[in-house]
Amino acid sequence: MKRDVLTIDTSRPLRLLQLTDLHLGLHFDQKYRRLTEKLVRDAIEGTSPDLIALTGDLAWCPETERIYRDFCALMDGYGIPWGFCFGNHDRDYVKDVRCLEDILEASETCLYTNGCEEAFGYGNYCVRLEDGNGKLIHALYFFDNAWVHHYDGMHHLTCGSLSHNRFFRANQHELKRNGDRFCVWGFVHVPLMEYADMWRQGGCVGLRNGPEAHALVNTGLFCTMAEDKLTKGIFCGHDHGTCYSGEYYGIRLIYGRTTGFNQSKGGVTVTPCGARVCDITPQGEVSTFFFLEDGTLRNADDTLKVDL
Amino acid sequence: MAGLRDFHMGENRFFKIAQITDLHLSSFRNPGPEQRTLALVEEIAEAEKPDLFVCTGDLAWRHDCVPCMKEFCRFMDEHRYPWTFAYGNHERDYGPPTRVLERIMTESEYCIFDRGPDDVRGQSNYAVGVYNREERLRFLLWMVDNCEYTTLRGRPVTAYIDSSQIDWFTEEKKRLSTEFGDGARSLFFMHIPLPEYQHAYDAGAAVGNCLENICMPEINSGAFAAMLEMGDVLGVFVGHDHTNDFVADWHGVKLCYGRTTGYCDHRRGGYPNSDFARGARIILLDQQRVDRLETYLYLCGGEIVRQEKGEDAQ
Repeated sequence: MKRDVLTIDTSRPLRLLQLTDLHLGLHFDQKYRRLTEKLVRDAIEGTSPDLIALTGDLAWCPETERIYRDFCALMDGYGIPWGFCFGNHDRDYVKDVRCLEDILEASETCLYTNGCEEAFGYGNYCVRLEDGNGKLIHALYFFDNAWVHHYDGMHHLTCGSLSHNRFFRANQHELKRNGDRFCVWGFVHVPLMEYADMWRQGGCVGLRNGPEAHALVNTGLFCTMAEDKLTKGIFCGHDHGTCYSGEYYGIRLIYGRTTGFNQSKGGVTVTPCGARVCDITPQGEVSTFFFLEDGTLRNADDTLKVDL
Repeated sequence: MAGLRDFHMGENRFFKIAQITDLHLSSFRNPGPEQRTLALVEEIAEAEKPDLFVCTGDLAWRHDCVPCMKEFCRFMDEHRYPWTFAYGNHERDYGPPTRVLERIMTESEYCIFDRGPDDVRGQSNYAVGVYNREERLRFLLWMVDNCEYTTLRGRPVTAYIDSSQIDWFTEEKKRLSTEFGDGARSLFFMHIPLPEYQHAYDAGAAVGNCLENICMPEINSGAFAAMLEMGDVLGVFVGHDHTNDFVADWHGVKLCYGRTTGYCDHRRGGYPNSDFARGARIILLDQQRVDRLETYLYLCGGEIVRQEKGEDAQ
């Protein structure tokens, strides 16, 4: 499988399943691991996505490499392509991130590549979704904005880097050469600061479990993506229990639904775990809902049950 | 070496800058606040003896922008005060194209001005170098044009420092480091505060006055992050909000407001607080200790205000 190009069926919306913050572990959290893996299976089987995006924090334990291998095997069993960006906990116990990259790149279905070498962190890359005639429909950008320069108390001082903006602008310049109109989507682990601005502005839908744990310094990724008129949405994870989405400067800013049962050291879950499902038209319109741990579907503000 | 005009410190250990801001000169036809403003500039020059004046925008406004700029250049030339300039919003409110003001400034002997590269947004993007006795570059003073109001996806926004400007100062810094050696420190001068001024204020880092809303761009282009990535930035100096003059240490960079220098009659679109003493921010650079940035306010009449943690705002 070519990792940077996929062909999609444009006669119907693309179904994207977003998983995030799985926090899989092998020790006291075995129970959570079983529950989380069951939820991943249920969500995939229950929603039949065309594409899966995992926005970081797959593992959170000393045996991170084993977790990665097992998870890749699970995903390869479904044969559905999945994109991945690193979270902060993925590398808590890992000396050489290259080992994790090798595992991801060995997976049949994982789209991960190390990507742009000049961009800060690991795995800043673009996946193109084309129709049957090779016309570009969607460009998906994955950024490593959880590889932290410094820690300043509890918060990340800077997440990401201006090199991400340069990578984005340069790659967009390339993709626009043949004049296609297409939709641009971003995937990061840590919410951008503009999520908080959007929440203050109002009009968001869904749950907010406390303040957004964004970086303390804004590297301007939102600004860079907003300046590009093709950008339609940005997906993130990181803030457990928060799953709102809204629109800011015409861009959909979307939180995933925390998938992992092990949400903190004590393993306490604040809201039912789940996954976000997005049906995306070739024009970039999004309709979204949640798949929850009990197998039910909820609408985007988590109030109504919906049926597929 | 386009875009870089130099100062040589020679035997002097210190280099002193007086930041003047928001002079709002509007007419010299009648005796009025303009004369008081120029008298204050003269007072600052005599009391502090700065090596350089930096004007962070809104020097002149309204319809008389051109005669006011001419008059100010003549005044600075006559007194032999070297000065640099970054545009504010008001120079372009009702005024002539910036080319006209630019010609006046470049023809003035003591004004150090450069429009900046054509592929960079704005009309006053340039760097001034300060060299030590061994002709090593010690300080870089960056003038950045905030530009006017703009729109982002149909929504009006206060103009932010855009990617062409960020790329310009980061690349130019790299080039200058290669040419003149590492170790130079940067100071940024512009009219409108960065969004980080608000963050720093909210975090309680500000010392000094914050008597009005911090009027900053709604959109953060990452300019401050770029300065952190440069790793050599000592401070940022802005104007725009007339009754704010605080200093905030934010991730190792001093975010400073100037002190409003211009007298403007309250009835003529003046300041919210006309009792607010006018002045300037003094910046003292030490070539033996380049990482140390000393700054204080000079107020009309000679009062010095040192804004340090634990000291009450004046």
